Amino acid sequence: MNCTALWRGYLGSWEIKQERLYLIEVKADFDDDNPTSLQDIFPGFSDRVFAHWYTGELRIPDGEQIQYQHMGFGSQYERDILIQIKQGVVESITIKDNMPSDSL
Amino acid sequence: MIYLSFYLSIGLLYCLGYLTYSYFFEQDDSASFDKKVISFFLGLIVGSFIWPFLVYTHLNSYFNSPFKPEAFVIKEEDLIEAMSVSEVENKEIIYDPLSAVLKVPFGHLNNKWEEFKVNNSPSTLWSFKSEYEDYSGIAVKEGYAKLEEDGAIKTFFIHQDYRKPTK
Repeated sequence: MNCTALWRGYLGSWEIKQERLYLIEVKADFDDDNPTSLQDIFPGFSDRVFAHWYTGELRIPDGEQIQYQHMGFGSQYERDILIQIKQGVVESITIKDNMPSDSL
Repeated sequence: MIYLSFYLSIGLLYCLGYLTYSYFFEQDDSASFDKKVISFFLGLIVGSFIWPFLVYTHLNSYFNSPFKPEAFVIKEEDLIEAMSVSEVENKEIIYDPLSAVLKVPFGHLNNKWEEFKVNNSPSTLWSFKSEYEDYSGIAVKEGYAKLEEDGAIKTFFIHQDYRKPTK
């Protein structure tokens, strides 16, 4: 998985369960183009990995797109669900309304 | 005519001062002597005419100096608490109800932690939280640092590396 639209070279799938962040799938290839799995990166953990190393804010766009930006994740949607995570544990979830006030 | 002479004299003096300062304090070693002399006199002639613009540019760059990103350095005020290695290991055991991590110090980072211990054989470590501003915003690093006898920090273990959300 090596292309200019995905410089980091892998796709990760994440899940929040019981207020914790888990890595549940990694789509990537070894140098010989064989696909890699979660088990290859985290031996002994084939289903899920607790992402305790992660602290930060996750932004999940929600609703219709209200402004397109031709750059990464720059486009704006009706709402943003902002999830604050500290060492893999959800601290708070807030919903940010991006609709202009005059459209209400 | 007297006004023009006055205008050009001020420009000449200003450029002479600026070019002399540049010559001594912002020396460009890559340019040859001939090039430097030509640049000096050319600057003097052109600058005498456009000196108000030069004054504006210099003042603007002096008062609105470009942003300089900070580098990550653990400062004394970043240090939080001195702990023994066993205290650190007890504090940093990761627990997960779905057993998606081994119950060991620093969980999935345990291999790196063991490597850090072997390479640096620390007896006491200081927990730290270091914040610094770069082009992308405020970056934060948290971990444990080993203090040398002279108080210097040369080795550290980082277990949290994140950015403060931009509002």
